[in-house]
Amino acid sequence: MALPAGMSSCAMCVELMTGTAWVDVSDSMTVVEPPEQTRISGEAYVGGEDVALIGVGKRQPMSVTVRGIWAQGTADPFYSVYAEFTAPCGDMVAVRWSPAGCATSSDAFYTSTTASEVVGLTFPGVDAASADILMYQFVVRTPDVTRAAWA
Amino acid sequence: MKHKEQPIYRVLQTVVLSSDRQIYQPGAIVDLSHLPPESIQWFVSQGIFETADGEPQNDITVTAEPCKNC
Repeated sequence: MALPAGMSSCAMCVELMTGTAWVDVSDSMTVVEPPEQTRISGEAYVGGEDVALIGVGKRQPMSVTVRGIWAQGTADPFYSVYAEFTAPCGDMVAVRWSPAGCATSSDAFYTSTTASEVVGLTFPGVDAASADILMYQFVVRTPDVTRAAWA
Repeated sequence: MKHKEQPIYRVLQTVVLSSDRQIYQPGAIVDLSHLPPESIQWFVSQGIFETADGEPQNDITVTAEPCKNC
């Protein structure tokens, strides 16, 4: 048996869309946590069997959590996300991540470009006893994640 | 004189074009002139694009004069 090729995140690329254009923010993003989407399900039991009947419904919305390195200055992507998050009633931020990089023949995954909302923002904190790099985190709620091929 | 321009393609699977970073859904007509021919052939073989038959730029019966000094 042959081992699968496997791959790491070494060449990963992350982009954000807060308007109509995708912006490569790979230089300051560290993690896109693996999002999980679930489908509504129901169950019922009958007297003559020991296992359940399973009913299935629609796919539920999902959360995509992204972590980045914080830097001072409004050019930092943190402030793009902050501006969308603090806009009255919120505004759209879509996330696209490409495990093999933003390059031809890579795969990409992206949240909805019309219905993705920032629903959580963790600000950078401070700790006098720490030498850790200051980070921030945000959560995008989206109805779906789609796969695309870079060409 | 027959003149065939750079062919354009119909998207069959969702793609991101590296030329503009935009997402194109199946059915969209796109210009792949940023890709070398062998790359286009590979994508076509993978079912990601097909030649957009019927598009004027792919119609070899188009008889436009070639541009001058271009």
